[in-house]
Amino acid sequence: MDLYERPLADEEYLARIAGAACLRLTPEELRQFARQTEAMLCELDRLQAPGPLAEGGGAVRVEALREDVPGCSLGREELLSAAPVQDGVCFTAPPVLKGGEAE
Amino acid sequence: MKAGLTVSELIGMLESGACTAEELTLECLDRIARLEPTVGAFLTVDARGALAAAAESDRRRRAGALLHPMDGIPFAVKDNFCTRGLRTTCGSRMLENYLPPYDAEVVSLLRGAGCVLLGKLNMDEFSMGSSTRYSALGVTRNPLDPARVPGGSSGGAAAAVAAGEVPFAIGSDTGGSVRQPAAFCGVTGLKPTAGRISRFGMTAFAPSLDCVGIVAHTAADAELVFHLLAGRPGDGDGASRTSMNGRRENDPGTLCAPASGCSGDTPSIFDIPTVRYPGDGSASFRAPVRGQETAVPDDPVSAPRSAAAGVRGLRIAVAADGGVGRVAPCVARAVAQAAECLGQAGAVILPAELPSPEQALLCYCVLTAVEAASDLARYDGIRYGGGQGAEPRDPAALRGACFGTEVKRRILLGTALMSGDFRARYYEPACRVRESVRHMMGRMLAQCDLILCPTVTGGAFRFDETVSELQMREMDLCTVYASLAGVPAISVPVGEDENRMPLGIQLMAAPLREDLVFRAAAALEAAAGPAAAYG
Repeated sequence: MDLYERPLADEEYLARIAGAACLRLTPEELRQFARQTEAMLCELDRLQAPGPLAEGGGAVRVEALREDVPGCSLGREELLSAAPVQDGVCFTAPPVLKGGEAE
Repeated sequence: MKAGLTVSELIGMLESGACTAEELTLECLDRIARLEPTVGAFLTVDARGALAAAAESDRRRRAGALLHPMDGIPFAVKDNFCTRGLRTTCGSRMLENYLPPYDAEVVSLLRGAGCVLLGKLNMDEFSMGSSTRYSALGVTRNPLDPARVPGGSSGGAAAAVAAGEVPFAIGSDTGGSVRQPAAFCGVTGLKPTAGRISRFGMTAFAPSLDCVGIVAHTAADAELVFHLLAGRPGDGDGASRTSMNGRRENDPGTLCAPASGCSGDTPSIFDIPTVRYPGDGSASFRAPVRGQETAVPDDPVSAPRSAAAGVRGLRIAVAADGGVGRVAPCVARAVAQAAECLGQAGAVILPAELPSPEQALLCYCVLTAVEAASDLARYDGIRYGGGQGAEPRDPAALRGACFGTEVKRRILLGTALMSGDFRARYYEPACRVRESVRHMMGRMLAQCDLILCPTVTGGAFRFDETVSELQMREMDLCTVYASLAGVPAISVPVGEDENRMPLGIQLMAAPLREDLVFRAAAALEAAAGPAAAYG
């Protein structure tokens, strides 16, 4: 495989990834995780190195997923009992929009 | 004193009237109260529920209406299995107050057999770790030396069994999370064939690798529990609804014969025998015989026990270093000792070499990070997380505050690995490596009945030892092959390290051949003698 120059996992890059992962990080965490992610990606680059396990084998594919089968459901009351926040009828979602702007 | 007795021995005591289920439960609760300040295996103890269940069991026994021979036997489960009305935390602040509205399938089966649930066991947060130090809710110590870790992520399960607080425990094993702590704590840990035990109600870490596991004092006990839990097709587990060769099952009670059109020359790991269940699918699996259709007995406990069958004639390939190439001398001695025992018991010992598992470990890191990042998206304070009745919070802030460092690290890595071109650079090669591992294991297990190798490359380390991230990941080096290939594997205590801490020997077999790992594990236990009781 052609090894292209991958982007450095610096703090700016990791801030974008944290946003995609819906994780708010402190500046210190951002620094620490950027360093660790970059180190890990360097190590994972070895996955591309030739070796006895690198090529993949045969053509057998395993389809492990079954089709969805409808089953008996729990009642509304039981389901809502596990909701972090609810008003007795529905789940309550936190406000993510303020004044028409995404927070 | 019943602590440290095996499930089989306790069944005998209950049957003979030497004790009642209530007395047995009380004794376990007393022991938990006495040892927990040191061991810390439990996150939740349900004394009231356990005593009520034990009293019910005694009533059934007096009325001659036992649900199962294991009726009245206490157990505990790792805290990633849902228990109706009983806190299920996954070792995380995120789910600190989560009360599931239903029981996981394994909990239902055990309760349905009359077993008595004592409580929930500590674990690395969302099963991410190899020491149980990443639990946000408590410290678990190795009962054999409280200055040392119990291993992980099912560290609570291994510690509770090793401490004699409970005769057996249910854990989960994604890359070695039952086998490694079992080795560190000197008990037996089973990871069955992928999909053999339903994962319904078990919180996912990496669903393509997650398995329900069993921790017990002996292989015979693990087999007893395994027969109770295994082989129910469906029950909500995607892996168990479909035959392992990828074809849909023909009827709800049958696992398929191998697919025609599988590669011709190379024996496939997916060449599994047909196994037929009774019509109602209610009874457990008996170990199948290769190439034959095997009826499943109605009473799994009265069925012949694999553990007693011996190993005469079995071909056992010994990979002395598990492919790692740098195991400690004490580990090499333990493997040699195990091979010698099995040889003396009549097994044919063959030398074998496993390729270096480092690439398999990298593949495991990629797959688990990617799957965990996706799975843990549900913990956003809306669907799950944050605690019932809490004020609604911004999901990103909640996740940032409630997830621990290791979980955040893996979510970030998994998200990065699936973003942009990284999918082709990392995830797709990892999938190819997994496929290679499956074929490599299939080829090896077509030439032998079992592979013997170390479970871990050393004994339990001290809490105050500095262990790098790399060293932590390397804890999974020897166990990751069985996880990626989906084959059954068991860890049995054999030998000690220089600190007198136990070491583990791992036995792997072809899919659905748990009977073989039980036979070899029992032979090793018979040679090693009974383990000393703790405390």
